[in-house]
Amino acid sequence: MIPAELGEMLGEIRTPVMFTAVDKYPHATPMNWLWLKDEEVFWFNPAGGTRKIKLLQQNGNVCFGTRDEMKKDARGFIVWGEITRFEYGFWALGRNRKVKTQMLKEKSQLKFNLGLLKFWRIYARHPDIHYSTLPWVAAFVRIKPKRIVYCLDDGVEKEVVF
Amino acid sequence: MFPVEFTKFSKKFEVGFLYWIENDTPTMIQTDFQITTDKITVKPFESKYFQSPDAGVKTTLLFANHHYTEQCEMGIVKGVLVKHGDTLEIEPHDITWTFSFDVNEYPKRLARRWRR
Repeated sequence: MIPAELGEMLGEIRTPVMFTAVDKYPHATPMNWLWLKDEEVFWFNPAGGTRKIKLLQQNGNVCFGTRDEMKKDARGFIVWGEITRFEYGFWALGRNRKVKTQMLKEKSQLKFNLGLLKFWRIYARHPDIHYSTLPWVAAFVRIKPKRIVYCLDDGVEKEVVF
Repeated sequence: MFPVEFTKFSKKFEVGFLYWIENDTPTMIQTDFQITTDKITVKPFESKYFQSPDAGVKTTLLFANHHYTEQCEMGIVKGVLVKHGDTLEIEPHDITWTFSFDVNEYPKRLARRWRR
């Protein structure tokens, strides 16, 4: 069981996490995320066809963290964990639609923008883009935390090891 | 010389994270950073739960704003950590920075890249 104060914070923070996977140099990007308190796992929904997907398939060790609103002294956390489920493609979206819905509702700032539709082909293939407009090609990644270091607004660091 | 445009861009951010790999596992620490046209210095936060990376490791510095939309802006520096006296610096070989974009102008002015 994680401390109640940590669970509360993981539910409240909407700032993306800075997520990294193993590569020759650490492959780090902002990611949208979800904390499922009943299962005590994190979910991610990275865009399909990216280097990140390939790296995560090769090595399931990950690390991610954030500060609320990206303020230097705000509350935040860093998580070390491993992938316990990896699903990819159209059917994964169907199977994990509840996760996707909850992620959009609780964490995401994504907006459906009609203006972007005219660029969808470029957008979906852009090598530098960090999220995709094509949700059916995205992956669903479930991560079990092994260790979390966090601090609340008082700035005092605490650690939870699973 | 690093791009002036990038040094100006980096000043918009107050939080940075430094990443490296240990035993086939990624790890990270929050860090202060300062980017000039000559050097990129980092000062990892002190903590009883974290150990700062050693000089010589391959590292990535990432800083971003708090958006995950077309308003997302971020900078990524990949390089090797080196120690000069008491200060840690990154000798970069690859720098990427991404601007928030105007939907009507997309995909213009989305990302910039510098490579050694």
